[in-house]
Amino acid sequence: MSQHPTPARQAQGFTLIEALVAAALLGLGITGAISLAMHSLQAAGSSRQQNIALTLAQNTIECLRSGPTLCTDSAALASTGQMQETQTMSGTVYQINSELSATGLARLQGMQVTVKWQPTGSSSPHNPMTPGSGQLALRTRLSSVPVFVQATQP
Amino acid sequence: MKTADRGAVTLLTVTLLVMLASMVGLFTARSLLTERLGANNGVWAAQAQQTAEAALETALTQIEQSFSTAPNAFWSTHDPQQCLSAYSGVEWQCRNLLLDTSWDTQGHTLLVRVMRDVVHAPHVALVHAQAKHASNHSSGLVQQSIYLPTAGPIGTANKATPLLTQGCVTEAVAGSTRFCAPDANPPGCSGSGQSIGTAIQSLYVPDLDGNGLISTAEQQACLKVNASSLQGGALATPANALPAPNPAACDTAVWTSLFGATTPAQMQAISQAQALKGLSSQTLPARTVYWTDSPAEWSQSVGTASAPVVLVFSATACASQCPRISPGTQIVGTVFLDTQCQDSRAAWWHSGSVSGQVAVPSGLPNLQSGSQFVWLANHRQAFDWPWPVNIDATRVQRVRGSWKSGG
Repeated sequence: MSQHPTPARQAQGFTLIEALVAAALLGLGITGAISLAMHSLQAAGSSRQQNIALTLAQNTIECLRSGPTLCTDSAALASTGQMQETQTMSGTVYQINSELSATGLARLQGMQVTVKWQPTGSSSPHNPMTPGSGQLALRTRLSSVPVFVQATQP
Repeated sequence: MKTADRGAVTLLTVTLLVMLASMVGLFTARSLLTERLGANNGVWAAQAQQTAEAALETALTQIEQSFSTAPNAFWSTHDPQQCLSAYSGVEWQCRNLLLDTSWDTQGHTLLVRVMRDVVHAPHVALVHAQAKHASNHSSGLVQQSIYLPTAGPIGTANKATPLLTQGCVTEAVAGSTRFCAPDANPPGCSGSGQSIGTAIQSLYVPDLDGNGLISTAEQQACLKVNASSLQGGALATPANALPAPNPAACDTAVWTSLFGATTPAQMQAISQAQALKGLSSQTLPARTVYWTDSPAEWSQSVGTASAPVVLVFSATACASQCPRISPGTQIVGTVFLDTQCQDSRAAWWHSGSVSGQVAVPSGLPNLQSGSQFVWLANHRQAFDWPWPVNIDATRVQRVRGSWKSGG
């Protein structure tokens, strides 16, 4: 003699399955959202680092361009042709390399400023020289054509 | 609610929650993408800006080199297409500069334009450099003004006289010429005979008695002009005897006192540039520098009291004899006869009517009847270009504070 499940028992079985499916869905959703949030945070941090690196590179170029009177680094670079500097900002170490090079024209020099840093989320956070580091380079040129400055009376 | 519906409601709620989370995630991702794009754009824009800056620096160096090798060749062309809309007036001379391209422009296309005002400031050029990247659409723009050795500051030793010579002056017919000295009273030399300034100044007078001094008699023997022609104006000569001008090595005393550091070649180049631009006495602004190599008589009236001109009869034009200025022709400004210190080249000259100053590095024997010389205080305005004090006008220099980015 067979026994048929009562409607109440049937409902209990379905509720369990639905709950399991719901939990699985919720788990997937939360995992995805957390993963996306982590990725977003990492990418936002990377953008911030890139912006900081860009500002550092631009500041360095402007400093070197302004000449030795206004920028002590300019004199150092002119004498050695190469210069390195390290700055830490918001917990990230930025290594700034400035380099002068000859061009085909006399009285005109090439100038390159490279900023390296360790991107957010990668290993060895305090060693910007490891492979996979963030890097940004700005290249420009510098002419020796002088600025006329009016001599002032003593 | 029935027990059977509870599961469905839970499932629906969870699905909605997951969808909501997905939408939030998507919007976050989109915002992140925008931020990332912005950061990349910032880098591209900075690279374009630095490339434009590099183009400007390269252009300045090339211009400097060009002026050190062939100083008057740089402005021998004009390309109207290179004039920016703000510089489209007839006085603007424009050209593009082909840059040395043996460097990494990082995929940017470069355009360098050089512009100058050939009337008001032919010694100042505006260099405009642009870098554009075709794929990321970034562009950089910088400009800088520079002083060019195309002219120099005017002389500081110029004399206030309508006629400056380096030798003797005589009239073909006594009393047939007219000199209106500065400070004439009334102004304009009306014939009242009340002028009180210098009517004729000569930088050289022969020392006839050889005593080392120039006496009044020696002065009058050299500047032998009738009193009625002088209209009350005085004669001015050096107090001491000086060596006679040497045609074999003609000094530039007269030229320098008038034009200062501007050389004849520079004056000729500016004249050619103004002609190249189509400037004339009818344009606005009018042409201000005329250099002529032609021996033909000059019959064009040029210059006004508010816009005087400079007219140079070159050594070529004066090779045998300087061209006359036709009677009735009026020149307002400065006239220079390059006689190469030879009186014979200026003999029997006719000045027309000159309001300003005539300068001759020799004497002017037998001035023809009807020649008029009227002093005009601002006669050097045509070549008194705005130079800063104490500048070395022989080299290319940046104008301080003229650097601009972004147009």
